[in-house]
Amino acid sequence: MGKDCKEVQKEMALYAGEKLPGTIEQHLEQCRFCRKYWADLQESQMLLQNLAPLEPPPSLSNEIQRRLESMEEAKQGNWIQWMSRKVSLPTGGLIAAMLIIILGFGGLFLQMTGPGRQDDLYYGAMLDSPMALESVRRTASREVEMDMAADPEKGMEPKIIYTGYMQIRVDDLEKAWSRVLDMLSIWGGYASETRRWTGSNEDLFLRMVLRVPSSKFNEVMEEAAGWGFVEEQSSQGRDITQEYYDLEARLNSKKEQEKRYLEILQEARSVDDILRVERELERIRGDIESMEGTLRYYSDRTDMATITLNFKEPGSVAVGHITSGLFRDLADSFLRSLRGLLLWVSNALPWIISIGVVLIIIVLIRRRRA
Amino acid sequence: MKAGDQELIQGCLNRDREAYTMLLNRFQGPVYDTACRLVGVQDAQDITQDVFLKVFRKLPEFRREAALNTWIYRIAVNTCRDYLRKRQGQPHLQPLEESMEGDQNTETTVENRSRQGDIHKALLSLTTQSREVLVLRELRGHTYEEMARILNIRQGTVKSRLARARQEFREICRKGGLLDG
Repeated sequence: MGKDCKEVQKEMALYAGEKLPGTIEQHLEQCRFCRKYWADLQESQMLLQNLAPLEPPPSLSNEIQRRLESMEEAKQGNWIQWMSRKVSLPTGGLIAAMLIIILGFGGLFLQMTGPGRQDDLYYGAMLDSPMALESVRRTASREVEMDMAADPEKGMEPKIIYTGYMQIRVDDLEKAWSRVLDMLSIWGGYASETRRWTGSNEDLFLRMVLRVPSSKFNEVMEEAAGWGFVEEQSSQGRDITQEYYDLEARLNSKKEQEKRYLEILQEARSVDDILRVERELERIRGDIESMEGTLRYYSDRTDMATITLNFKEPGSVAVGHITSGLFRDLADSFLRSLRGLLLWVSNALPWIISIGVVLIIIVLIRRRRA
Repeated sequence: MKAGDQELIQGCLNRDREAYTMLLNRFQGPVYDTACRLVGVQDAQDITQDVFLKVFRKLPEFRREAALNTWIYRIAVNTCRDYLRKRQGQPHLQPLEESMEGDQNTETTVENRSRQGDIHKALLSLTTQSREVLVLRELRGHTYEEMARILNIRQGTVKSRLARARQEFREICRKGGLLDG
């Protein structure tokens, strides 16, 4: 063995399973020992790579779910214990008082500003131009192309989950509603949720969650933008192509396995054998069911895009509001805040009573402990 | 970040049962196998449970720029280390026959099974450090970059550990008569 063989062997260990650099190749041509060493390295690596994966027992995932649930329960239990043990009476009172104030002012604020505001808060105001739509779709499909370039299986249909949101101000809510329903039958979609309500100032609101074929996503968003003044718009496309086909491939191999087990079951003779094969079958069928469930969920989300439309028809008071003078404004806002205050008091009353009851219970528990 | 991870994480944060199940389905098998290879079959179930409880508990703190995959393996490797520390760094060396019963591959002959058991034993007799890099690289197929993140070391260190581990493993296989040549 040459003097630098040790060095060479150390270096080639890093290249196991890959191509060796030229300098090492040259050395191997001359050195019998290192040639053998390289062969052994490759072979021992293959041993590891060919190890069949050890499968967890089928009960494991149930056990994990069970422990997760008991962890959640324990968390809630601890919280109550902590309250009764750690929180001193003045602190508890202070916290309760702050809660009431926060709830109260929150309520007051919402009452004054009306439900239109509530929706703005809820949707986290993400202003997008209609152009952004196209760019989302383009980026998403570019990602798919890149994935497909890396994947030898070509011609996979991209799986993308589209979601969109739009807030539209219209002159006639009824007309907008019947328009949506008409268009839905043309697009081949449906409304999974519809809600109507009247806000302060006699503003009318209509919220619809539409499910339309993904291929119609852009068309629907463009069409909807033409129905009134778009106050807010956002859209999103998320690519799950890789995920989807991975899962589908795994599902197919599980089904293959199921078929093989069924064949084995036909030939099985002893009761013991039959029971064992049936146990395996049960496990595999469980896997298949859960995979199929996931695939169904994916398919539903990718086949049908989800679009949330919020229509708003400004009420007559709001229109007068704009045209009238400063005095009218002041009177208006005073009346509205008075109304808000009254509403707040009636809203907060049950809270004040229930928080009071909780406080009394805590005090009683603490007294008894002491 | 792999496509679909975002939904999965968001779903878990929203306590969506379906998302929980999906995350479990995807990672449970490989995490269990990793635990078997690093600590031994006897502790693998407990470890896998601990890993997923940690994953679900820590998910709100998960930084999105890291890949979900490497993050979970990092938790798995650290949990395995904790178990090994409890048993003074000595993994279980018990035969694998029982645990292989649940193996999907029914055609696996008895011979093949005992051979797989010997290979597993050879792996378990390495040092923890060497075992970690070999399992992550040869069994899980992680890149050097991913391994560096999972083990929290530099890529250079990953490479030198891997080279040493392969040499050690070759030596053990040779002595145990596992190599043909």
